[in-house]
Amino acid sequence: MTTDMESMDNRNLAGATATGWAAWHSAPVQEAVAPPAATATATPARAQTWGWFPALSVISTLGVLLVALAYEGGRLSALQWPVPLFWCGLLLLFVPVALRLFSTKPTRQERIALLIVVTINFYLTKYLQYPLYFTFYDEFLHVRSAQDIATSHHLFQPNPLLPISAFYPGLEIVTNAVSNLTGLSIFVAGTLVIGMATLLLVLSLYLLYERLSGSTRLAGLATLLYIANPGFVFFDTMFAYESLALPLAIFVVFVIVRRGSLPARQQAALTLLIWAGLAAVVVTHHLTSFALLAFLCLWSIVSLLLWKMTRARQGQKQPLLAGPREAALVTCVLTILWLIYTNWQAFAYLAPNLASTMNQVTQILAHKAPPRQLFHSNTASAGTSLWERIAAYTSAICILLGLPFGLFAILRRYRANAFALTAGCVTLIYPVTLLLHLTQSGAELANRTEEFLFVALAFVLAAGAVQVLQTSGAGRRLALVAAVVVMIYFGQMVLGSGQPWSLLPGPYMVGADARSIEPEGIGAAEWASAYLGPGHIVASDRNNTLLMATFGEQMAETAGSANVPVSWVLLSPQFGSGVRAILRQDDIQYVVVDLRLSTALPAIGTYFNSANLQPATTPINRAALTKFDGVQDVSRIFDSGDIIIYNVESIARQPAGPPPTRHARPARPKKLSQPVAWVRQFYLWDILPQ
Amino acid sequence: MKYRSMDMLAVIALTCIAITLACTVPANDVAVRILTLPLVFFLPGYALSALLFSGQTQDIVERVAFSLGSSLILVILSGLVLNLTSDGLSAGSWIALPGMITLVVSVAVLLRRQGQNAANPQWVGSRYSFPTGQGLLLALAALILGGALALSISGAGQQPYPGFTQLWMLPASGVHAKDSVQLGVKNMEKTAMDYRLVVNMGGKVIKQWSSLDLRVGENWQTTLAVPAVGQNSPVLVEALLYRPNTPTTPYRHVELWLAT
Repeated sequence: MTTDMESMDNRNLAGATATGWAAWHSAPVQEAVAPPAATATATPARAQTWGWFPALSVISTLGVLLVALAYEGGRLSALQWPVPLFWCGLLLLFVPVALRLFSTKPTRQERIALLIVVTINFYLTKYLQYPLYFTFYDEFLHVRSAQDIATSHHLFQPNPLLPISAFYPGLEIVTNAVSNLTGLSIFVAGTLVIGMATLLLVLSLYLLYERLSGSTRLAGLATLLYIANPGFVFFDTMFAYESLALPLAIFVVFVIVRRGSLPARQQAALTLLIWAGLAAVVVTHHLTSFALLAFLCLWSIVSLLLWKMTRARQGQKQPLLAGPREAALVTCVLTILWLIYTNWQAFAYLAPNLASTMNQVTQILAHKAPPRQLFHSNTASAGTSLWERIAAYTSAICILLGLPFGLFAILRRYRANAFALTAGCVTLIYPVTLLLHLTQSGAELANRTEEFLFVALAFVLAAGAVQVLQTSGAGRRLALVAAVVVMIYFGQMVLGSGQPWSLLPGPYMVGADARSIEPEGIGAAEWASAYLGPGHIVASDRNNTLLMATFGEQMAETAGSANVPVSWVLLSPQFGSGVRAILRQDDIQYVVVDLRLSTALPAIGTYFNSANLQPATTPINRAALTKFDGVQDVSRIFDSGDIIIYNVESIARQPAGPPPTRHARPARPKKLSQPVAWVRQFYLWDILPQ
Repeated sequence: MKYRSMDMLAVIALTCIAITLACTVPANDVAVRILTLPLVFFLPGYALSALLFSGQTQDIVERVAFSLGSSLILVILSGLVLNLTSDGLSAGSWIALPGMITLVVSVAVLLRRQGQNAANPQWVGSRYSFPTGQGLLLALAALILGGALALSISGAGQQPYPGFTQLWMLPASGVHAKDSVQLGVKNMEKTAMDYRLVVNMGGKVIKQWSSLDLRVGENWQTTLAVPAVGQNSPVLVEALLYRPNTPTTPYRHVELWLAT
C-alpha cells in the first residue's frame, strides 16, 4: 500500500513534467484519486479508505476543547493556565493531522477528510472565542451593511462605519439570503456563510493543488501549509468581505484550471461560470479582485511566454490552449466597470494607505526616519514575549530557507506548467512583505497580502518538501520537514494572534476592540435604538461608535464620515467654541461618553478610529469627559454609570436661530433582559427590526 | 435511466420542500426554517454543475466544491438582480429566485440526460460509510465538539461583568411634549435593587419615588407631568437615583433642558 501510493505520487509528478503543456490541462488526477481496489471483505477496505481519519478527528477536536477551556479561563480572569492551554490546543489541533499528511499512506479520501476536520476545528476556535455576537472591529463594519440591507431591502445604503463596504455587498447579500430564508439572526447567518466560505476555500485549494501537481500528498501538504498562514485563522474567518471573496477567487482559479481538462464543447459552459464567478468576486471585495486580476495577468504572460518558447523549441505550430487570458480580460473589464459604478471609491479608500507606505519606505531609505521596531507595542499593553518573537522569527526564516527548495522543485518538475511558474514568481514577493513590516503602514499592507501570497507560497513550499522527502534518507528528512512545517505553523499563529491580551476573551479593557465590547456598552446602544429611534448623528469613541452604529442603529460619526474629526469633542478640556463649532459642522445630535476612557490608555493605541491620530500617551482627562454636565441646552439623557449620553442637538442648531425641531421621541421599548432571552436574541431574527 | 437521475429528482424534491417551508413556516420557527439552508449553499450550484458537467463524471469532493461555489456565486448575482426590483432583497424574493433557478436548471439537466448513457454518480454507494469502530470514534469527536460549543456559549452568556443600572429621561411625545417627561430605570445589576428616585425642577423637588423595587433585568418607566415652563428661558429638570446604602450620594443622574 505504502509503496503503491508513493510510486503513484512519483509517477504523477514525473508525468506532469514530461507532458508539459498538457500536464495542467489533463493532470493525471484520476489515477491519484482512484480508491484502493475492492477487497473481498467490505469492512477492512472501508477502514483502510478512512485510515487514521476517525482517530485523528478525536485528537484534533480535543485540541478545540482545550482552546475552549482556555477561553473559559480567560473569561474567568484566570492568570496562569489559559494562555499555555490555548497554544497546546492549537498544536494538538494541527500537528497530529500534519504528521499524518506527511506520510505516503493516507488515501485521497483520508487526506481530504483530515483537511476538512482541521478547517472546521480552526473555524470553531475563532467562533468559540466570542460565540454570542460579532466582536471584532471589521465585523461591525459589515454587520452595519447587513443590517441596512435587512431593514431597507436594498443594497448600497450609506454605511457610516465603512462607506465602501456598502458598494461591495457580496457577503451581505448571501447573509441576507440565509437570514431571510431561515429566520436566523445576522450573527448566526453570517457565521454560517463564513463557515461555508472557509470550507469552499480549503476544498478549492486542495483540488487546485491536486490538479496542478497530480499528487494527493503534495496537495494535502500545500493545503495544510495554507491553513498555517496567520490570516486563515485570525482574519479570513471574520465576518468581512475578504472572507468570502478570497474563497470565491480561489474557486474561480480552480475552475479555470479544471476547464482545461474538459472537451471543447463543455469549456464554453464552464467559461460562463468563470465569468459569473469573477463578477461575484468583483462585487464582493475590491482588494481581492485587484489581487486576482494581477495574478491572472501574470499567469497569462507566463502562459504566453511558455507557449512561445515551446513553439520555438519544437519548431511546429502548437495550439494556444484555453487559459487565463480571457478571464484576466473579463476581470479587468468588470473591475473597471464596478469602479466606475462606485465612483472609484476603492481607490480613494486604498490610496492613502499605499501612499503612506511609500512615503515611509522613502523616509527610511533616505535615513530620515527610523524603521519601525518589530514586536514593539506603542500601547499601554504588555508587548510580545521573547518566546513569541523567537517563534515568529523562526517561522519567517523557515519559509525563507524553504523557498529555494520549493523554487528548485518547481523548475525541475513543473517548468512546463504556467501556473506553477507563476506561483513561483509570486513567492518572490514574500521577502518584500517582510521588509514592509519595517514601516507602520506597510505592516498592515503586508499582513493583508499574506492570505493571497500563501496560495502560491504553500504550493511552492509543499513542492520543495515533497522533493526533499522523495530523495534518500527519507526517515530523517521526514522528521526535519515535519519540524519545519510545525515551526512555520506555530510562528505564523503567533504572528496572527496579535497582542497577548487579544488572544483570549476576558474582562473589559479600554480601547481593546473585542475586549471592549461588553453588556453595558451594548445596553446603551440598544437603549438608543429603542428610545431615540434609528438614524441620529452620534459622536463617540472607537468602540462605542461601533456599538451605536450596529446595536444602536445610529449614524455614528467616524473619521471617514464626519466633516470635522469628532475626537476633539471628547478630548477638549472645556466645552468651548471649538467644540461647539465641531458639533455644528457635523450636525451632531448626541454625544456618547464612556468615562472608563479616563482610567487607562487604549490597548490598541488610540481611543478613536481615525488613522491620522497619534497613539495616546496619557489617558483622557476625566474632566474633559464630564465637561458637558451643567452646560445650558446640553441634556444628560442617559446614565448607566460608565456611559453617559448627552443630547447636544440644541447646540448644533444654535446658529440657525430657531429652536430644535427634531427632539428625541420615545419609541416602543424592546423586551430584553432575562439572561436566557439575552443569549437567545443573538441567535434569532427578532434582534432586527422587522 | 431513472436511477441515473435520482440525484436531480432529489434536488427538485428538496427545492420544493425548501420553498414550501419558506412559504408556510413562520420566520421565528428557526428549527424548521433552517431546513431551507441548502437553497442558498448547495442546491442551485449542484443543479448548475450537473448541467455544466453533463456526461462527465465528477468525484464527490469536486461536486461539493462546485455545488457550494456555484451556489454562492448565483446567490450574489441574484442579490444584485433582486435589488433592481421593487421588493428588493425580501424573504419572498429570496424564496422565488434561487428556487426558480434551481428548478429550471434541474429540469434542463433531466431533459439533457434523456438518451445519454452517462455513468451513475460516482459517490452513490457504500464507499463513504464507516465501520462501527471508526463511526464510534467520529461520534466521540462530534461529542467533544458539542461539549466545546456548549462550554463556550454558556461561558460567554454567564461571563462575569460588572452589573449596572440605566437611568434615562426624555421629553414626552405628543401633545404633552412641553409639560411632561418620560423617565425610566432598568436594573442590570447582579441582584434585585431597591432604588429611590427624586425629580427636581428649578431646584425644587417635584416628585419622589421612595422605593422602586426592581428585579434583575426589570425595566420601569413612567410619564411625569411637570409644572408649566416659563416664557423666558429653558428650565432644567433633573432626576437623581439613589441606592439604599448610599442615600445621599446620587447613583445615577440625568437632566433635561425643557425648551420654552
